[in-house]
Amino acid sequence: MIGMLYAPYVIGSYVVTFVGIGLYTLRILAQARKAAGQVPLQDRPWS
Amino acid sequence: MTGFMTSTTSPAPSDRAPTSTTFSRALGIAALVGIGWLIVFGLFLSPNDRVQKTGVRILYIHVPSAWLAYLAFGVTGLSSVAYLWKRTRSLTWDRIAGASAEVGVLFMGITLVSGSLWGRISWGTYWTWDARLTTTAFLFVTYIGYLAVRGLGGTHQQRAKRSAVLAILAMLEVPLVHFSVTWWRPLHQNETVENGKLSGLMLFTLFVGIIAFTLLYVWLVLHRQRVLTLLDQVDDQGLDVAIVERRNEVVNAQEVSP
Repeated sequence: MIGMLYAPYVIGSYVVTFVGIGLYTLRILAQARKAAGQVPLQDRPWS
Repeated sequence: MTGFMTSTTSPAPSDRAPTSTTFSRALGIAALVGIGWLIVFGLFLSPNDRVQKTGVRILYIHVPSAWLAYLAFGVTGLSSVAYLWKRTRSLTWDRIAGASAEVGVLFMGITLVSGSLWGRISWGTYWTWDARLTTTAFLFVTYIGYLAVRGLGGTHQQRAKRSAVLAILAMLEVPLVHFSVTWWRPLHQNETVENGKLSGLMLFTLFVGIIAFTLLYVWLVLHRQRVLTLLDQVDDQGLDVAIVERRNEVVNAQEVSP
């Protein structure tokens, strides 16, 4: 378990990491939805 | 049932997640499970270190994020080589390079922040200008510059060419950062895994972090590369419309003039 002495630093590093990754992921998905509305399905090579 | 699935009030599945496929969904789930494991093992199940005490738990995200940043910048450099080489030239390589650099900057930022917090515990300071930290900060700034260069104007081909040259030059910095701890012997500790400083559950947790972050990296680059493809196509459509409008203006002007 995490000792109380350094807990803010340890938990802070995990929070910064996963909040940062989460925000970046949301940005990618939002951009995808916005751009996909202007591109027909047949022009998406992966679909 | 079919009518419900294709209801006009809710978007089609392809529009809700336009960049996802069966493979990317499976990859995303695997990455999420890996991150869950990392949090459980990193914060609760792994033991404290004899010397670093609780501070060792920061290494389970610091080391994998640094590894991911190296990997991401390496992929950016190799994709840029593939773009510049005439036999493999394709804008797909350019988009992979751009996507990988973006994700690399994200992970390098995480490396710097988590490293600062670890430094506060171990060294008593958030930052010191030793060789490893300085070269890492320089690498971070270099790739922010690379992303800025990608955002400059011009055609897709112009963007790809200039950013590919910059990416290859920037890739040369990666070994400089990695070997800085052996070349200059700074305050930063040298390789934790290679020197056998971790073992048992601590080593297992570190590998869980590396695998989870690697899966996450592949998922992020895959989706970001597809978003860049969509944005390029939207750009091309805008250009086509502008050309048609300009042609119509010229035709109208010729018809009006005697």
